[in-house]
Amino acid sequence: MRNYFVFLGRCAGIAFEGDWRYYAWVGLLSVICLLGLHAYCRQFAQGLIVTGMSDEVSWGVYIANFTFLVGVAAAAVMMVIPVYIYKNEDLHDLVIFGELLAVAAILMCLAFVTVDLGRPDRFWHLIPGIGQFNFPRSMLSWDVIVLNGYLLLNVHICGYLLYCRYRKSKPGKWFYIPFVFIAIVWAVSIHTVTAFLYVGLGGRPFWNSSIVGPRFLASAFTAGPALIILAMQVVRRVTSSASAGVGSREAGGAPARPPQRRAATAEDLVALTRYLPEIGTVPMELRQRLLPMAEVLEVEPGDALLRQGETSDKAFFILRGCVVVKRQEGGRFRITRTAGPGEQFGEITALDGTPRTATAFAEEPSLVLSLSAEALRLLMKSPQVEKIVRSRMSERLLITDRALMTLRSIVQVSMLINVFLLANEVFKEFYSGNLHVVSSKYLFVGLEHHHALVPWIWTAIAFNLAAMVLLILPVSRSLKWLNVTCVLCIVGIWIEKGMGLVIPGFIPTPLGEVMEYRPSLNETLVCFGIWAFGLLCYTVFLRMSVPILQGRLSKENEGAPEPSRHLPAAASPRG
Amino acid sequence: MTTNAKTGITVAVISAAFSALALAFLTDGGGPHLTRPPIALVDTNFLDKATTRQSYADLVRTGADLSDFDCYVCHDKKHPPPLRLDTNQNIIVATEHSDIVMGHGRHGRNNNCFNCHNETNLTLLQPRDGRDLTFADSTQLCGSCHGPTYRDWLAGAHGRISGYWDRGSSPFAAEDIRDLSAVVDRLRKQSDLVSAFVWQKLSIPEQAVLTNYRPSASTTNQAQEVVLRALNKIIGEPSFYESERFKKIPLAIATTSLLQLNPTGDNLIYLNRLLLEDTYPAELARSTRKDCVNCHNPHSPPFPSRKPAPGPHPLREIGGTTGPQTGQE
Amino acid sequence: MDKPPQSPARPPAPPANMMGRRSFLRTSAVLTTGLAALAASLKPLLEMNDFPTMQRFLQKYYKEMTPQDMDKVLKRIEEEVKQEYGLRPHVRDLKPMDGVEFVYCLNLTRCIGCRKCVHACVAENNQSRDPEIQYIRVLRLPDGSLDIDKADHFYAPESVPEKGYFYMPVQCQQCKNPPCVKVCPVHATWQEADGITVIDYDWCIGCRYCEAACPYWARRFNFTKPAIPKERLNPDMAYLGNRPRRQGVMEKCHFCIQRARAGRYPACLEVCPAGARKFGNILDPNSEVSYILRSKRVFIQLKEEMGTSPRFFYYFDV
Repeated sequence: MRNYFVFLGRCAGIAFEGDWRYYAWVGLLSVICLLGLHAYCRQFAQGLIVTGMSDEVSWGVYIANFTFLVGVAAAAVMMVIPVYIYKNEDLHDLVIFGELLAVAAILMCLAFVTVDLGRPDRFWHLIPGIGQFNFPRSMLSWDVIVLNGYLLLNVHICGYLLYCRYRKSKPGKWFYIPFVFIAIVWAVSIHTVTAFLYVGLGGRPFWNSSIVGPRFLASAFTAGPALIILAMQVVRRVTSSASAGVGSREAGGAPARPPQRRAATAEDLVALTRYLPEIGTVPMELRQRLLPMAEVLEVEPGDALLRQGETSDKAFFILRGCVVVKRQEGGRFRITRTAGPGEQFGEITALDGTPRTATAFAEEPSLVLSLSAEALRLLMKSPQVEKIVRSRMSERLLITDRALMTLRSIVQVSMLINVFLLANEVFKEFYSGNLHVVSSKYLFVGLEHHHALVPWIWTAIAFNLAAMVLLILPVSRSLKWLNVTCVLCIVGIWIEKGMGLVIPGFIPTPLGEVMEYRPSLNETLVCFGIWAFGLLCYTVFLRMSVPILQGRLSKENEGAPEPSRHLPAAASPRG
Repeated sequence: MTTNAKTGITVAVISAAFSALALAFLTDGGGPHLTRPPIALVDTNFLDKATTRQSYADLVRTGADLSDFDCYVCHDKKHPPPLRLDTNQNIIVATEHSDIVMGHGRHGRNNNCFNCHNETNLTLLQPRDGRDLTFADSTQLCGSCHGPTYRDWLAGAHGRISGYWDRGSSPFAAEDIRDLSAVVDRLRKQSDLVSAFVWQKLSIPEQAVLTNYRPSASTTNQAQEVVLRALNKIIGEPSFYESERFKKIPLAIATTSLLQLNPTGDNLIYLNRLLLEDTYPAELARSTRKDCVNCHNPHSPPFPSRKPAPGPHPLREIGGTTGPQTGQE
Repeated sequence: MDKPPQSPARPPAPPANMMGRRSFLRTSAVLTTGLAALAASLKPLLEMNDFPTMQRFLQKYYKEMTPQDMDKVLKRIEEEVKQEYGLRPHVRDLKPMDGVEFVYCLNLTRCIGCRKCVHACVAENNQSRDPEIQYIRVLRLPDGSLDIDKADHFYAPESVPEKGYFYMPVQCQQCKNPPCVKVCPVHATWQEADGITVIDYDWCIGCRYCEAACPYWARRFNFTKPAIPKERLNPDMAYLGNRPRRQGVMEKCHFCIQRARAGRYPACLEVCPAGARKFGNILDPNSEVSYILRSKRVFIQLKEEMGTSPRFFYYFDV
């Protein structure tokens, strides 16, 4: 138990450490949070009259944001499916980030619902047993249960996996696998229940339609993974950039001549053992078997040992010298890390056969041991070697491009379904010409002289269609276009699910009155505050979990000085 | 610039931002105090529950000036008033009755005064079946032609009723006493037989309270309670109607018709209440259905139009008009 | 053999204790200013004059209160109203009468659209005047149509009734199958034995789900503290009826429960100059509402297809 508190304490501690960009980001978010808090206190004191809501339009941006974020939370967990069901190892670490995003999203949802309440001080009336909980008749009571349950599920799964990683112990299957599968089903349920909040109201024909539930899920699985694609690129950049704050360097040119190679010998392995003692545990027979598949390369500064995008089964260990690993992104090169003697590179892509994610250049004259994947596997038959190699692997987070592409396919399919369902809805509303179409008319073309929402919905449709086209075309495989597409998806779906779903349900009222809605400044500040709070939570979660996943924050280095800033492990000297 | 220095600057900027925020929050005057134009309180005319018109029976009960109804001050008992018609066969209303506008029925259908008034006895009304009705019973006259409406009126489905849907449990409540001093006065003076009857029912201390009552704040509540208790006790008891006791008190049609039914139970309670209301018509609120003439002018019955009360004041300025077929004001 | 690689361009690390002091200063600067900003942001709460007291916070649910609990609560309410408005009210907890189910009938042939019922209701039920809460909304419809979307809520002619239109006042229909009761997450609204759907104003959490659910737009929310003019306060109150509400809770027409359960007509009925409104006990065959539903050929319920089964009938004189 005490260990657990130490773990929590260290996690909390590391949240306060970072480089200036971290402080700037957290500081900015805190400022926005405080603005939102102040605005909310004003609302608590004066009542909801400070918002733009009225008896005619009695739900506004608070519930719109809530609806959108429930979708994000649901979708974040759905990435679990490829990992656990289809055993796609690329997404392994992404699962934790996805679930942390789900936790942050759920916290935002709970915040949005709380600020929307007229009497949040009476929250205890909702607690079953103490208050009066109208379950199962009220869909809102279902929502309370599923949202809080989802929060607990994800907190448990993430917390457990991270704690196990911290202790470098293998997670017990029964402590998390069942919960993961429950979480998959639960994710679908939270969004379906939220949809049923609207669908179940017979007095609002705009909502009382069976397409609302499927559309919710389709749009959630478009916007959620899109958010994750963007977030993961940020994580990737922030967690592996060099400590010296060097932004980018020019790319090294092609080597003047191919590096000198020779076959590896037993002495080379012994030399490696100086920097990587675990090699000493590899038995002689194994060494004999792998040597024919190993080479030693001698390289000059600027020589490229492996290139981004190529596929090769070679893994490398540095015997002498220094290698810098650079990643090309959008025309610029970014140093991801530098490696010294005893360190490895290229082993991940060698083992799983995916294209290289970066290019490795020699910084100084170096001697490098090159192993084929099979040789590496032989080496890793020794448990100690496997342990150190794997832990070194996970120090560099596995957010591969392939993972992002998998997410892209999820977004692609979901957006296609979303657009198809939109077409269904439009046809149903406008073809028959009956009177129930009034709310849709207001939304798409306006009623009389009321058309506040018309530009919004058409923007959303344009964004969604553009995103759909981009997703179908191969151009969105490039990260730049993929990012543009993701932004289009997120904004388009935020508009259509928020303003485009919640507000038209109230216009006109069941008695035919048309009252438009515009969020007030105070209301907007509260929304920004909650978004900032959610982003702050997610930032802090990542700040805690990345070092744990990288192995830099673990039980082994309890008591040692904290790893400060973003010093990559490679820069700390060994041997 | 070193990262250390950058961090220092960032932290300094953040601290400055926090301080600025704290200052802004403390000096901010409570935020967007909403400025909506104030909504005026509605004119109390629109809250008035009184009927549009008083019936002859109301005037009699409240002891109002009935000189307008004394026809033979001007008319001759021996000679029925002549009717003068113009070229279109419309009645020419005499200048002495210029306040009367004839409009009872279209196409001049009901244009003849003596369709309703009895020309040989102007104090009576004459329905088609030859009965003689006093002005107090005018409802019967209307009903002799307007059958379906009259049937609805008898059942309570037409016209105005105030007071109690629950005819049985209709005790008097504080707001039913419109003029406490008048009631107390009549009781302690025993100015009529019914008041005497009520006074006898009071206990000595209760009588003392009423004797000492003065219209000031401190004694009002007590006196009110005494009166209410006494009246409510009576209506719960068996019928206290005696023709002698009520000889001088004009009873409403509702009362007499109910009386003829010899009611029991809830209806008896209701009858007792009606009897008391008839006894104190000005002092106690009425709880029966209104007569035709309380709403309709018998000479020009169509219900008068009036200015409507103010419409709703929506909370937000945005939009705030109506649906597709906007009826602009 | 080889020396460890140098990281490019790293400045010499400052001495250890200077590092410690600098980071301590930084941390404390940020934390202090941050906490100050946090505390300052709560300032609007100080200006709140209706902050929930512990008593009100812990108040029990209506259906779980014993008569003694209710007595205490009623006394407290009387005290609070006296403090606020200078007038001691009489607050009762009236129970439903046996053998009574209320029904409201409204004669569309007679309604002239004068809106007196709207304002009589506001006066009787101590509704907020600013912002204005009105339980009754009178719709002006063109002759020949019951299409709600053609309704005009804001008509203001010189005189009513206007030719070519009829008027339909709408208020809570006290449905037999109320969607608002179904969706309330805390059971703050329920239907009583005499058919009135009531709200426990001290239990409502203000989520406004019921307002979204009502097909008749009958429910109102207190967006801020209700403003009741002292001189127009009606001191004759009931717990589930017209006692003053607080900000953040729902309210709606309750058939003037403080009157109806004492055997009296609702205020809207008494003030109607045309006698268009009829109210009574449908279980009593002699009541006027029984007569109407028995004898009128044409009477309708609004939005019948919703399945709400309202206890409000609109009829015509046929």
